[in-house]
Amino acid sequence: MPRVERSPRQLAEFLYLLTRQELKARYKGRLLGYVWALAHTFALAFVYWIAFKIIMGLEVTNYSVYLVAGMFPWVWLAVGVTSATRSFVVNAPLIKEMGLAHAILPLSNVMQEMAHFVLALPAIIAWVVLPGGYDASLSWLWQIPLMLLVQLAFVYPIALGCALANAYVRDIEYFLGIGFPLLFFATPMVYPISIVPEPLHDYFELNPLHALMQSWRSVFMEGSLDPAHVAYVAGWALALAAVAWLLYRKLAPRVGEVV
Amino acid sequence: MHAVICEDLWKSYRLRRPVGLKGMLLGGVPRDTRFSRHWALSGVNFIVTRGQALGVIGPNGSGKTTLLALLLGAIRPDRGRAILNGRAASLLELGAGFQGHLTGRENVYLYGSILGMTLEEIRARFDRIAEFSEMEASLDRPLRRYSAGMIARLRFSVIIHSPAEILLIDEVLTVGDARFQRKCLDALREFKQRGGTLLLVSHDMDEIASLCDDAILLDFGSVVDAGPAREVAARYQDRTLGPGHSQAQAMNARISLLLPTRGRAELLRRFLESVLARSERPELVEVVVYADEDDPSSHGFQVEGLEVHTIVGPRASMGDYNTACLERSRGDIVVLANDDVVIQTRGWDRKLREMHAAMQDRVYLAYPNDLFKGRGLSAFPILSRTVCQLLGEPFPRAYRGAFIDYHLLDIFKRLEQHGHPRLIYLEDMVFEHMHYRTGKGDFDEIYGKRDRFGDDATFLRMRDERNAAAQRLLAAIEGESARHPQAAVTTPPELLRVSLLDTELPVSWRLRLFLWFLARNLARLVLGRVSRAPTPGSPAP
Repeated sequence: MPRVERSPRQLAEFLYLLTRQELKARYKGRLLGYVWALAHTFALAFVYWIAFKIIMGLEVTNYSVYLVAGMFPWVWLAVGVTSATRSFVVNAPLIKEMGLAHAILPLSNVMQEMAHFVLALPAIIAWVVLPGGYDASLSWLWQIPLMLLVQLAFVYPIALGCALANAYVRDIEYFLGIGFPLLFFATPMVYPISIVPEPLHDYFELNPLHALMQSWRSVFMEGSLDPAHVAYVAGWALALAAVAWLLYRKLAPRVGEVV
Repeated sequence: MHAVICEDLWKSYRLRRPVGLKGMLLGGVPRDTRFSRHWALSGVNFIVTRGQALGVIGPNGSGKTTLLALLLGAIRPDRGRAILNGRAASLLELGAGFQGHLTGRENVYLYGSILGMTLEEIRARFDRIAEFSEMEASLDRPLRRYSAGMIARLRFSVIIHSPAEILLIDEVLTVGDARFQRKCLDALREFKQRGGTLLLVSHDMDEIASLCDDAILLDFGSVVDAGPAREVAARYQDRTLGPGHSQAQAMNARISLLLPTRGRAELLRRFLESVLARSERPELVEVVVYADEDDPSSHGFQVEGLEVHTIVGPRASMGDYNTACLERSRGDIVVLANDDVVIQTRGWDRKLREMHAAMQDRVYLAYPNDLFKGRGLSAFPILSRTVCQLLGEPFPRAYRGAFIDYHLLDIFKRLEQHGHPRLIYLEDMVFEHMHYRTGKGDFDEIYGKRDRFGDDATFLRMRDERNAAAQRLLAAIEGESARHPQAAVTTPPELLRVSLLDTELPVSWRLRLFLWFLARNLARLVLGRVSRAPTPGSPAP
């Protein structure tokens, strides 16, 4: 169908413009734009630190680093998927009028959150190195980019699937509002997996989010990466991509009518 | 080459009953009654040829927006095909693609990208876009500080500079002030001239009539009327607003003055100033000037408060000049003027509109008092747009310099012979002709270079065209059924056939034509000037 012709390059430029301008808009015009973006996640980590370390006396070595190293990738995941879920509905005029290549829109949301994460990396590293007392590791130079790609590949299919489903059934965005906090506590984020009771341990290990977050933590805290964890997450990413692809083929053509 | 094809297009929407997630999960509502069907389009067919403009009109909910969405591929048809052959861009009313928190500049880039432009293409066009929108100074402000009109201007500027070959435009020219609207219309006309194809959805019938070649009327998802845009628009308007409306509208009719000129900048200015000074409503008057390429002194004339368009083109025949001006003009009333004229009657435009409104079917040839030829000749013919269309070529290109007035007068004399006196001499509307023969002007080289006998033969040759034109006007007055048999003609010498023996003409006009041509032939012999065109037949008395 010869609609608006779009070369891969033009699509890439569109993704770039969409993402960059949203980011610019978010950081511009605020005195402490960058600080605000970080403060939210650090504050979250601080609350959990008070609750679990001080009040409940949880014994985890370097608990504050453990929290921070997991919290930032989690925010990327949770906020990325949540905002991407609304992307078709928010951009309804675009889809209705332009017959736009839909898949770019949720990708842009995920990329925005990824950019926030990348921008936060210096702060995370500073936290790991200074109060944490860990050594900066040369292996970060390949581990961090690899993990960025793995997480992007994992998050995007989820975001696309949720966005498609939400176009048809608006309940998805509310569902996610409940789902992510539940998942947060079902994943060893504020506690180590070692304190999970033995019978449940294996089930917790099945959670790909655990493998993902554990990988980030081991990169930041030990400069090491468990290939099994990475492979497990990558396997999930592939499976999710297949599901998202099927959903896309089935649901995308009529998105213009239902948003 | 077809740019837009709609073939047997059907589209229905399922109307969701308010079932909600609970209903879906728990059932209780039988599956097939959850939805009812609404047919938004049922069997729409049309084709738009490259370089043409199609208007789409119809009441709200008639399927216009669905049609555009199908063409754009935003939704899929149930049956049939909707094809755009070429790069397309759309400007639709919802205002997609503009983000309030981004600056005007950023929005131009984002919108361009949404339309399918590469960064390179946008960069190359950015300055032109900014200039066209006339908002260079505001481009770095966030869009939410813009007024709706400003956003519309920016959107249009991006669209019109996109490399699209097909533009789909929905009801958007209504925003922005009158001057900018005009600029948009001009830009769209230019786009068409470059070979661009246009699909315009609008409720503004004047816009449809002036911009589109053809139009379709949609109602309940079907094409219920189709044809030349002006006619479809007029029929739709009569149907929805009642016939009384067109009378009221006639008093707001736009007047177009067509004005070929050459090397007479001073006369041109004097004429334009008289138009402005003597018009009651100059905002409803436009002047379309045709100036030769090699005559820069006549280019780009502007008079504050008057809409003046200048066409710059090659030297051509008088018929060509007039026709070019006519095609460019938008008025409901078309006046063929001359640069050596001064309008002397205050409120001439109101008089003209009153006459126009009184002629219900708009079939007339009116002419002002030029204080020279007076009632005798329609030196400055005035036609309604309706007549221009019925005539097809009201100012035939074949006429090099003269006789267009005679040509039109002859057609209407034929009408008179059939009992329809539609010649209207406006004695109290004075367009003073400063012709050198009246002693009010100089005999300049423009007069001097004219070949005074070049068009005699053309006039004689076009007798049958005039007769056919008269028949068309007649049909328009009396309704389609009335067809008059053409008078049987023998083949006497050409002049006799066209004048004395032409039973389609009133006797007095026959006599006058005969004597006039006789005199001209004598004059030609005396002056020893040889016409460039050979006269067919022997013009013997």
